[in-house]
Amino acid sequence: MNDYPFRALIVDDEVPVRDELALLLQEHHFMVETAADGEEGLQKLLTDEFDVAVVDLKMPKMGGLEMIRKADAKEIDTYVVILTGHGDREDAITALRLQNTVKEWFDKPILDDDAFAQRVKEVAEGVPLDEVSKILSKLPPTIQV
Amino acid sequence: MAEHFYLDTNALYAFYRDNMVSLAKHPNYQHYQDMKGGLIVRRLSSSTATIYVSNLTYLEFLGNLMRHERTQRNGKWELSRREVNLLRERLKKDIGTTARHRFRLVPTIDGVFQYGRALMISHARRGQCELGTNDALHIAIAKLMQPKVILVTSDGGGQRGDTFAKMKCVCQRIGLEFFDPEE
Repeated sequence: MNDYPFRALIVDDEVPVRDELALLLQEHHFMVETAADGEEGLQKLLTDEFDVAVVDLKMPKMGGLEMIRKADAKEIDTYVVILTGHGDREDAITALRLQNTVKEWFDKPILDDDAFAQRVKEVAEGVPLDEVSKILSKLPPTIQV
Repeated sequence: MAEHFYLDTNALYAFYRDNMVSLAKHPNYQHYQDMKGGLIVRRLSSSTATIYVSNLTYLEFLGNLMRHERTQRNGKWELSRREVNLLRERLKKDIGTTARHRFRLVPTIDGVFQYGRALMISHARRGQCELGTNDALHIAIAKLMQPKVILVTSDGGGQRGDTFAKMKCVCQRIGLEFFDPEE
């Protein structure tokens, strides 16, 4: 890795939301794929590689939470940012607590574009290298194997 | 010319520990030294170099983390569970089989164990290179890999408590190019 841009998958059944988020992330130099429901999203996660998936919870066919659980069960390690609408914040909090890949959630009705894009970028990047270096600097300079 | 590097476990550890500065010490990449670590490795990988690690590298690295997680020093765990989880997450994200991964995982290579055994017989005896088991496997992987790779090893002898650099001794004997970022 790489000068490749980060790859994001947006999974949302509402076309305007999907398109708007895709445009927003593209403006922040992401390569973006979209899926219209959990089934299509899961299929894409299983067959392609993404740094981050932005996932709506309430969708037809397969909801976001079920999709994330199935992806986790298949050891797909794409990090997830959840989008919630009205009344599904509890599900988002549950997912944050239970699924290692879920890193953040945002409320769709009050989404701040810049804050959202910035956080999605951080999630896509993963644990900062500086933090890794800081943790390892506590240990001896070479390892015993 | 495109270069391919294979990192042994100490080299991968050094890579993360010194924030990716190690490889920039290679003569071909010294112009990267003034860059910040993450940027160095991005430039290295995207422009000319592919950096490989093996499942052995990955496994030894994890084993080392777990050992520090279960070891106490002055009444404190050397690594907390949270720290180990963060490191595991970073490794999981960085190591994989595609060009998008920071470190490319070497596919399984036929004959690695057989060649490792041959290396042990030829170079591990008294008066030879005193090669260790896992080091023999790293060398076997690097030697048998296609494309050809430069073995990156921080096999600094004394620094690891050894009297001399055992891996480098074998590399010289079998004609495997190596690079020690610590030198």
